[in-house]
Amino acid sequence: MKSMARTSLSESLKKLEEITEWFEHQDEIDVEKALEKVKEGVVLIKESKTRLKEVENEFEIVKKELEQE
Amino acid sequence: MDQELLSLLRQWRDRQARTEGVEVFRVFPNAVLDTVARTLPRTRDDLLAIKGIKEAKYAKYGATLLALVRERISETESENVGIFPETCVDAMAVEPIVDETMTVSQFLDGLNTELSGMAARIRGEISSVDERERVVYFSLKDSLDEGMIQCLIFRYAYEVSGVKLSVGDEVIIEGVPEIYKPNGRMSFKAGIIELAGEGALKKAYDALKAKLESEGVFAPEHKRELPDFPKRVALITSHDGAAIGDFTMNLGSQGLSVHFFPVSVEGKRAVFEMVAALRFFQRHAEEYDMLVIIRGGGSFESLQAFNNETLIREIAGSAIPTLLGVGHEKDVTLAALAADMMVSTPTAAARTIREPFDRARQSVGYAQTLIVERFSRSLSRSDFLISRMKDVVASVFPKITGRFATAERGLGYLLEQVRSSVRSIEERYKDREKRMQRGFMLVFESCKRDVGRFEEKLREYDPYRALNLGYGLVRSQKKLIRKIADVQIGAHLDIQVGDGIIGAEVKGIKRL
Repeated sequence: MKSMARTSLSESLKKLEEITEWFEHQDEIDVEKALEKVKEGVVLIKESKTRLKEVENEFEIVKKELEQE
Repeated sequence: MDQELLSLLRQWRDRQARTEGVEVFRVFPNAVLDTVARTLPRTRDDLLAIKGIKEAKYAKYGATLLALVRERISETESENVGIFPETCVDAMAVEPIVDETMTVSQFLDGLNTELSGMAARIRGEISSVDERERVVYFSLKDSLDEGMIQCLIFRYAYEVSGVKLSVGDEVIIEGVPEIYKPNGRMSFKAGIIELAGEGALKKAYDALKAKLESEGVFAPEHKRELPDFPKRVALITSHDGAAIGDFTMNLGSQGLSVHFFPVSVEGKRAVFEMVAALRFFQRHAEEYDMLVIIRGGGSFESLQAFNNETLIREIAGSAIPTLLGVGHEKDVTLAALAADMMVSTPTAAARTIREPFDRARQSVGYAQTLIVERFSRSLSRSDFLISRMKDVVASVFPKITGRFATAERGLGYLLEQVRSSVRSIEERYKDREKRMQRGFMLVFESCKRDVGRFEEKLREYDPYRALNLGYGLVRSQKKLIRKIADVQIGAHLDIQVGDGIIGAEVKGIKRL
């Protein structure tokens, strides 16, 4: 579960980067294609933002379990 | 259960374990201490009745345990006089332990109890070493004075110490003195051995580095990538000191779950505690994405724990990817070399974790701006193109329709021309037809006339016309008879006249 969330963030970012690059390297933009990319991009941005929301870290002190019986 | 006593017992046990350089349960497991705190044993037999305490343990710690219980009971007595009369009576019953004479063993037990409280840190030079399977015996002497002491260290503690003893080394040892009852000799039971002096430390460092290098402990192909977006981080460092503060301050708010195992990062307990922490996290390895060990900078000597072989191997063998942020002056610590990734400060460690998050936020923001900007630009561009096309169409269209009209007129004219030429061809053709018809009729008439004339002529010359006039054709055997020689008497003749044939016979022939 957590590893899934992790890969999905990395993957979302990768896809987003591809979309960004597409827009960067397009002189004449095909509006229809662009619309598709925008739709995909919006979903990815939303997902990534949720995951990257600045949330305070949780600190927990682990009890010293020095004893092993 | 006497909780106060239990906590006293545990404190004593932990202290004792450290001094002996063994794990706590080797002194007494929790269960035994619990039973002691519950049953409050007062005599040797009471103690031996407890599961987990046998003769050997009794000889070693029995007196101390009994003393602790007794001390505690007398405390509660003075606190609660008259409330627990039974306890008072019992305590009184044990009191007359002060006897004039005692056995050798009793005396030695007493001495050892006293000695166990005399933990010390001693510096000296190794004068002899004898490594056995479970114990290493050595003697320590002063380089200047004459003093000398016999020492021993258990194999486990010796190995954790990471020091290879050889004669002439200057070392610092920690432990307690103890008398070995069978021969009455005293030796110093060391729990910790450290090399003393920068030179010796450096020598040991270089030797260990070379050894681990040859084993491939630091090999780059063993290094794992740290995850870009960890969620659960295991953290090992000191509770005090700047490291933990620097780390948390620079980590930013990433919604991480950090499990912090506080340890000493310097001094005699550092290796034990860090190894214990590492082992703890290894037991729950699947719960963590990353393991971080940090410590601020320090002198070579103060960082010795991080050059300890046991610790290094524990880090190298970690099931969780490791990140070390340990400051150093000249020589990087070997623990850092064994980690999957090393940086030189706790702050840098925090930034290593934080950086992918910051970068991701940045690229998401950039992507958002860029996509919106490019798309709206492309939209307005198409809008512009469309309206321009509209204008173009509006201006060009009349021209096109004008041309159409011209073309249409031209086409009409052409059509008319074609039509009239078709008409003239038609007329010419009709005329020809008539002329041909007429010509044909003329030819036909003259032919008819010619045929009529031929017919008449033919009729004039027809031999059969003569037959009707009385002439006859005479044939014999189908041959026309022209001369008398053509027949003989008696020959049969066929005589053709105008309307038929007469059969005759030659009766006579007469020449004329």
